This record gives sequence, structure tokens and C-alpha cells, in this order.
Amino acid sequence: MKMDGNVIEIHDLSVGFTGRSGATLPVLRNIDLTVRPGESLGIVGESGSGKSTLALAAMGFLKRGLRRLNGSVSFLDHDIFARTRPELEKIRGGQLALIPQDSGQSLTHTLRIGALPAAEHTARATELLRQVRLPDPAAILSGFPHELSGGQQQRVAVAMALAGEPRALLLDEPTTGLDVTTQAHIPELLRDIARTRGWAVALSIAVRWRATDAAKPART
Amino acid sequence: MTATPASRTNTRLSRVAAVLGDVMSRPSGAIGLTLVAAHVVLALISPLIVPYGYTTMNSAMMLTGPDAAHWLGTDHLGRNVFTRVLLGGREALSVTGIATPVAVIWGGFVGIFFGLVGGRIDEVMMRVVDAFLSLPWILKMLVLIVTLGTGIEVLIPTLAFFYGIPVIRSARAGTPAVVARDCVSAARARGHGRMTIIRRELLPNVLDTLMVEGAMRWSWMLLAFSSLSFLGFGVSPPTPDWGLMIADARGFMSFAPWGVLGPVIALSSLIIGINLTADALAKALGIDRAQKAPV
Repeated sequence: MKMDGNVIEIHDLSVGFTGRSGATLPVLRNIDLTVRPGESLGIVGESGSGKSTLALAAMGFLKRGLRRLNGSVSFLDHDIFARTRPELEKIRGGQLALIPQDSGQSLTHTLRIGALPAAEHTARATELLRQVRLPDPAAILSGFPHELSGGQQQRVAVAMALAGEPRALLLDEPTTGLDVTTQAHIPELLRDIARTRGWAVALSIAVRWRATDAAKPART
Repeated sequence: MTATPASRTNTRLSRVAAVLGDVMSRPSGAIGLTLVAAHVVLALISPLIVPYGYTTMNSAMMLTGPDAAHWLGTDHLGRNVFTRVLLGGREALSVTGIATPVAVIWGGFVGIFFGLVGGRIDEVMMRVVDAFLSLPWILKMLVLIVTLGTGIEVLIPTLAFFYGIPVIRSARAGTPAVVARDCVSAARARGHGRMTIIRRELLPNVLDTLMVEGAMRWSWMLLAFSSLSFLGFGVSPPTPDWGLMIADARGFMSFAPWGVLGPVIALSSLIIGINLTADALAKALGIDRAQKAPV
């Protein structure tokens, strides 16, 4: 794995959708950014400015109706949009992980937190929940998402992102809807984990004042 | 406490018990479920309790009215109608009891899959489904049955195939709302494949719709099976079957109506029972928009 190049490189990326009139409506326009190993990047923007779309596009995933108009996204010097679906599925959640905006909505509400594919994964899940400082991991694993507080849900999402030992971590407004204390704890937690694991990169996508607190000066 | 398989099973059982309790608390559900349960129990134990053999003929007792020995009279061959009515649901319940889950499973999977994939392939497949649905059901089934035969080995896959097609539409209609949820986007971002997303994210959220759809399809399938028997394309004589009994007795309906009334009441009560249960199930699962209604 290459360690000295850019981990994420987005060049002249435009994403949009075709409206009813047939006109192309851009959501992202000519985005350029690079993230190097060990670097944190904050992206600040108002609601609806396309931060979540950019985070998903960095993973090669565009929601239904959206399409790439031009530009490229490279992850570890490989064009992510040129990769096949199985290749992308291996990268996502593994080398490249996302912590979604609203974990309450992002966790499947019909499944328990501990609904794992195999019983031998329980020990690993317990360990990850401890790493994100969730007390009583066994109780968390047996619970449904709606039984957890917003902060606990967010920590579970962080634990899920850590599971694949990612090279890059995308945070899509990870403190939205949380109380002020938890808003302070989540970036602190992520910084600690990134430091102890020696992650190559953490790309923080956030909005409002918290972005400046979570990352270095922002570039858009 | 970790979520062990045993605790998951207990949760599922308690969920089933809660839904059943909700269904039984509604008048329509209580009546419907009782009717369905009674039919299923009768179908299971009828060979043990019938007073006569279903092929036992008595030429001296043809088309006699109901009496103490023959509660529903006899048919044109002197066979006991009550015996044949009790046994008449076994074939229908066993064929449709297998074909219904098969139809719901394959139709549900295809519908969810195309709802997830979307795009042009989804558009094309839905138009193919529309084309299938626009054809009269009896015509489609008769083409296959006349070509392949009328045995159970043909009837079960035929019914399962044709009744799975409307299930595709229902499952497809319920899927996009789930696909748009953040949990599906998050699953994609975690690198889950389509099959995992279908199994873990979509199916649990469309299952309620599929359960109600299955109950509705079961009643339609029973009617279709009995109609095929009535037309001579279902089970073969002398096997007792409600559709076949109605076809046999309709020529004598004006002076021996019991030969028709027995199987008609049995068939209608089962279909009404299934429909009432499906209605109550839809309300219990929150699918019916009029779920606040007491019935």
C-alpha cells in the first residue's frame, strides 16, 4: 500500500442530476481537494451545500438520480469511479469508512446492534465498543438502535467505522443533533483513536463552529 | 446480556405473539383466524372422523336430502356429501399452502431486488409484470396446465409462478421508500453487497407488506384452485374437492341444492376467514391506512 502519495484526491469533480425540464442541475461544482497521510481536512458549508454528497462521492457512491458530470476521485492513487462494484464493496467499510450524519437513522432499526453475521465476531464488537468508551458493551450489543441515546448511537457508528481498520475516515457531520458535551467528546474520541492507531488520514466533514474545532483550517 | 440466538428467537416469538394477540383482539381477526384454524384442523383430522368413505357409493341413496345418517344428504352417486365436504379442503389447502409461500418468497425477492437496483432494468421488468397482469389469470394458467398436465406437480409451480407476479409489484412498490433511508446508504458505505442489503436492510422493512400480501394471495389462490377443479383442470375424480363437487352437483341444484351448498359454504367460509385475517393483520402491522378502525 502506498504511504507517501495522496490518500484521497478529488479533481474538478462535478455531480448533478437531470431535472424535469431536462436541464442538468449541479449539486457539486468543480471540487478540488487532496488529503495526504496524517492530514485532517474540514469542509464547512451550510445545509444543502453538498457536504454529504461529497463524502459519498469520495467513496464512489452517488445516490439515485445523481451522476458524475466531470472530474475524478482517486483513493490511494486509483480512480474510484473506474473500480468495479465488488472492488468498491471491498474498499468501503474497509480501507475507506464513513461515519454518517445521523446514526439514529443510519443504524438499521429492525436489527439489534449485536446482530452480527457470525458469533465469533461478538468478541471483536465488544472490543470496539470499549474503544469508543461505551460502558457495558454486552448490553449495547443486545439492544436495538432506538434503545440507545444519540451519543451512544454515534459511538456505535464510530465503532462500526473502526472495525475495518480504515486508511481514511470520512465524517459526515458526526455531531449533528447531539448535546454540547457529546459534541465535544466525539471529535476528541476520534483524535485519540487516530493518534493511537497511527491512521494515515482522517477527513472530517462538518459544519458550523465544530468543524474548526475538529480539524485544521478548512479548504473547499 | 449478549444477543444470543436463543434471545433472538425469544424476541421473534414474542413479536409473533404480540401480532397474533393484536389480530385476535379485533372482531374481524378473531372471526377470521377462528375460521382458518377450524378449516386447517378439520383438514388434518378429517380422515379420522368422516362417517363414510369418500368413494363409498349407494345406488339406493342417490340425491337424498339431509337426515340423521347423512347430515348434508348424498350426491348423484349416493356418496355422503358431509364426508366429501370435510375431506374436500385437504387438496386445496395443501396445494395452496405450499404454493403461497413459494409465490411470496420469489415474488418478494424479485420485487425487492428491482426496487433496489432501479434504473432502466427496473422500468423494463415492471412493464413486463404489467403485461403479465393485464392478461386474464385463467387464460395464462390454462395454457400451462393444458400443456403440462393437471397433477399437483404442475398445479403447485403454476399457481406459485402466476401468483408471485402481483407480489413482485407490491414488494417493488414498498422498496424505494426503504432504499431512500439513511440505513441503506450507510450499508452501502460500509461496503455491503446487494444480497446483504436485501437480507438485512430491505426484507425486514418490507416483510409486513409481504405477510399481508401472502394472506391475500392465499385466498385468491384457493379460489383459482377451486375454479380450475370446477372447470375440470384441477384434481381428478373421485378425489373429493370443493370445486369438483360444485361442478358435479350443479346439474341437480334445483332439486338437490345440498350437493352445492355444502362445498360452497366450506369454500366461502375459508376464503372469508383468510380475508378477515389478512385485513386484521394489515391493521395490526400498521399497513392499512384505516388501522384505527375497530374491525
